[in-house]
Amino acid sequence: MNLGRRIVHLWRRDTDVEIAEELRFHLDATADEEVARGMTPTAARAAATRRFGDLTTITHTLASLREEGDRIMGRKEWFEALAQDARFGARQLRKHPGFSAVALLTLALGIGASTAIFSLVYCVLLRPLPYQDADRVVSLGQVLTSGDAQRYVPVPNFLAWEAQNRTLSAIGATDQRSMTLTGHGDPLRLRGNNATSGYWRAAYLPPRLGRYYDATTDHPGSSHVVVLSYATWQTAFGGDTTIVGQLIHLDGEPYTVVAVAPDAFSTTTNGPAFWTPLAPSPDDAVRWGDHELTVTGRLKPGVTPVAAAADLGRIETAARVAHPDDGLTGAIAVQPLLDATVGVTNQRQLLILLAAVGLVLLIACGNVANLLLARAVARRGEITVRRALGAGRRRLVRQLMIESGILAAGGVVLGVGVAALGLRLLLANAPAGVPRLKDASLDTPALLFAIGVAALSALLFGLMPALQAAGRDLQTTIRESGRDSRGGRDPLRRGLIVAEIALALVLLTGAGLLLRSAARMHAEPTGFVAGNLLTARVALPESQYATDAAVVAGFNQVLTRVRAVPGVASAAFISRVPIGAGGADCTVAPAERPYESASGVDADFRSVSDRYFSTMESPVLRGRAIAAADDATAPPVVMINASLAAKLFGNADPIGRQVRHCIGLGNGYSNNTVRTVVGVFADVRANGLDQEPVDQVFYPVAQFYERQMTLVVRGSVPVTSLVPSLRRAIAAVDPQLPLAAPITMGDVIRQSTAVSRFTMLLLLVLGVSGLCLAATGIYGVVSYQVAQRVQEMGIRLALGATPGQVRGLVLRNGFTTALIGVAIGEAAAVVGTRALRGLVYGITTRDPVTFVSVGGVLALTAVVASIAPALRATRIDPVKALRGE
Amino acid sequence: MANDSIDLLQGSLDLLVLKTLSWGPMHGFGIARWLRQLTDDALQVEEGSLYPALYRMENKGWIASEWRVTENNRRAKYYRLTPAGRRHLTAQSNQWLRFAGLMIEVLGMREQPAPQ
Repeated sequence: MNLGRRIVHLWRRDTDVEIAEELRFHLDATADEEVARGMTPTAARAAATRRFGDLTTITHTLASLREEGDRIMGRKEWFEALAQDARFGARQLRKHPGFSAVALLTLALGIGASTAIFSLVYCVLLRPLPYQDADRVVSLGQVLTSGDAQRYVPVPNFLAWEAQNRTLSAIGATDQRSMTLTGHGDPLRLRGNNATSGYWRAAYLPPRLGRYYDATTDHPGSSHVVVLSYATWQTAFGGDTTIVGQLIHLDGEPYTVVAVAPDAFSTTTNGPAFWTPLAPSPDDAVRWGDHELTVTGRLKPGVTPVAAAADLGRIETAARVAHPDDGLTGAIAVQPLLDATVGVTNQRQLLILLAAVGLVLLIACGNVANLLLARAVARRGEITVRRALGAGRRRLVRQLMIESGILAAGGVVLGVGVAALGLRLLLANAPAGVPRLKDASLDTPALLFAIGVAALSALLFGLMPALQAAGRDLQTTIRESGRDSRGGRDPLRRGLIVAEIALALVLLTGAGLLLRSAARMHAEPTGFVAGNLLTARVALPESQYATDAAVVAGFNQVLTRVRAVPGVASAAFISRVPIGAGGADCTVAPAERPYESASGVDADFRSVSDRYFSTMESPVLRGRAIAAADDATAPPVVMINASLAAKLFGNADPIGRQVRHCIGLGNGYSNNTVRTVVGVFADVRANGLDQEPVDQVFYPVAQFYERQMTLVVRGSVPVTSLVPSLRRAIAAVDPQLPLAAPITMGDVIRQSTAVSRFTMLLLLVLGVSGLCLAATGIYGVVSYQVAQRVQEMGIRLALGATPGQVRGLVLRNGFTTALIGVAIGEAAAVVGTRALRGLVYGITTRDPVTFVSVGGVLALTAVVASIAPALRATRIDPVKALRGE
Repeated sequence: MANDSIDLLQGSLDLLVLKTLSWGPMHGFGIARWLRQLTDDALQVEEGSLYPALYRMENKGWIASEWRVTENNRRAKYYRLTPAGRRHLTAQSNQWLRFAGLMIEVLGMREQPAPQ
């Protein structure tokens, strides 16, 4: 029989005895009364018993009532004891303000940092999209032979999916369209979307005003209606509630406003400013290979993404028969829209941050556990006394857990403050372009996270010391009685420090890899000189500039005016500025080979005006740059970059060779135009600093243009000061032309790396916090060891050890601990930093320089943190130490 | 004797016991005797319901108990009123008195009052 049962048993017997005694008294008293009235004792006894009734039943009833009472009392006592423990714990914490402050601060920082980062991650990654039944909204793409998903879909494929699918309740397509809003102040260049009516059903959120357009608009010629975004409605129309039904002018043409989308609809920071109907023309419907649509679908209830992928794959396989050479597998990628919106890279970066935050939190917990362990040792005397007085092991563990619970609660309160502050700081420094980041706030999930983290850390850092303190053999503790002969060999505390160092090393290695990779990235030649270079977009609306000749003339006039502005050293046009904008690909092949065969190379194509290369200060390696003379009537020419030249022509001189490409002037697409290569230019990181240079082919503006071109201006004065005069120069050509998004090339580069720089910065902050925490941890443990070994040191000094030897002893101690931590950490980092694969540039995730230097930094930190305790050790007075004071 | 006795209404036993204890601690037998004497044996408190009532009220925290020695040098379990029990007594007796007054008023009427 175990102890508990035996106690219960004893208790019950006591109760039964008590009840019997109470009732016996009653019977006796009743009998006495009757005797006093003259009955014989025997008769009186009988009368009393008769009057009382069924003694057995009553006894049973009382026993069960008594049991119930015990249970109630038990609960009450438990709560009272809890309150008592809490009061005691609070008193203990107040009595040691230094300890409490350090522990609270460590926790507040750990919890605060993790909550701030969690709220960012939640807001960007985990918070559902605002659409109705958002989990059913999916992004549809094609699967490439490389296995990647191609998110841009040709019109015919979309039309086939739309007509034949069985698994989607709605499917819609969008493509990008920029238009100029006039008649409301300055001309305003707006970036919007064309969207089929199915888009509104797929990504449904009720309109703020009006009604979304429907299927009656899905044919050419009916497209002059527009849905405004909430932001456009507010900024351009002042939130005019009568806007629905009004006519507005976009690109000089009248559009009827049919609806205003709600604010939540634009899920990205720079969401579309408007939506106009997308009505594929019969020409579009046969334009295979021209990837331009973003396709959104809504799964029918109960349909999984996998089932939808299979359904659409069936259609895609049939469609692919017609066009086998497009690099597609015929499979469909169905991805929750949330994942597609956030982007895989952002997702990974944020998850890495979350993991890093977890590491810092663990380090913080390790430190607090260490503090508590040290205190538990210091309190051994107290605990021994309490145990000797009969406090149970469970009661002691509870007492210690309550103390860490109080610390955790304090940590939450302070941590939420830290998180609020940190979040404000993070958002102020956050890069543009991370979807949904702007809405990050400390809302319920984040607060729940903070509380969860605190509860978890209370368990983590409270349980270990509590168990250790309570689990120690009473006899041993009494024998030791305050003197700790095992000091310096405390495996638990050393283990914690080793773990902390290892964790900090993993963190710092991650941060170090990103730093090194950024340095590598920025050291790479960009192929142009970014200083004092301004870029801005100019778009010619189709309504005013209908013909190819009108467009070319328009761009030429703008260039002439811009070049005449005082302070402009040089100016040119390019269809998409390098680094700032991704390119579109199409096959280039030497003219002597048949174009249709697989002999070509997919190359990024852009058109440039004359003086582009001199304005960008980009070298032309061979031949000549595109010149003003390369106009529409001149022979067709192209420039290619060095890597394309090598692929097409090997080592042979490419100048004067002829190529075919999919592009023709205006909208006519022709593979049959033969163009002469006139120049070769250096490889440029055209699609972003972190992207390898791609194969490129450049056209003269007059022989191929896009309606929206980017103006690049090099100034002889600071370029940003030129913006007003540039606007005037363009307005002089056509008052309806806006100069959109003027931005320096330096900022273009900065923006392109903003997200990864932000991640790097956060990782670095977290890594340094981890390092500081680990350093204080090492300092704490080494100091403690010195304090515990005062007698030993004293004896050593008394026996003739030099201060240097004692110092060396202490330093060695700290250093060995650090080395073990570094060794474990390096091994963990090799595994852990694999998560950074694809995010580092120019180095591997096992970059030896990073690994060695971070390991060195940590080892050095350990030595530095051990110096103060080591010096203290040499100041020990042997006499005092031996006396045991 | 038993024919004249009145069966106690639900909850009224508790109230009588609390009232009895409001004059001072008393053991179970004493409580029964006191009530009997006070009402000239009209109220018969049965031991079969008195003791369970005492135990229940102790669980509720209205009364507390301790063992003491009687004047006859016998060990007996004495019950006393707790502050919570006193609060309960005050509140319940007020309610009872109001209720009883209304009952008397209604049942004592001789003629049907005219409708308003």
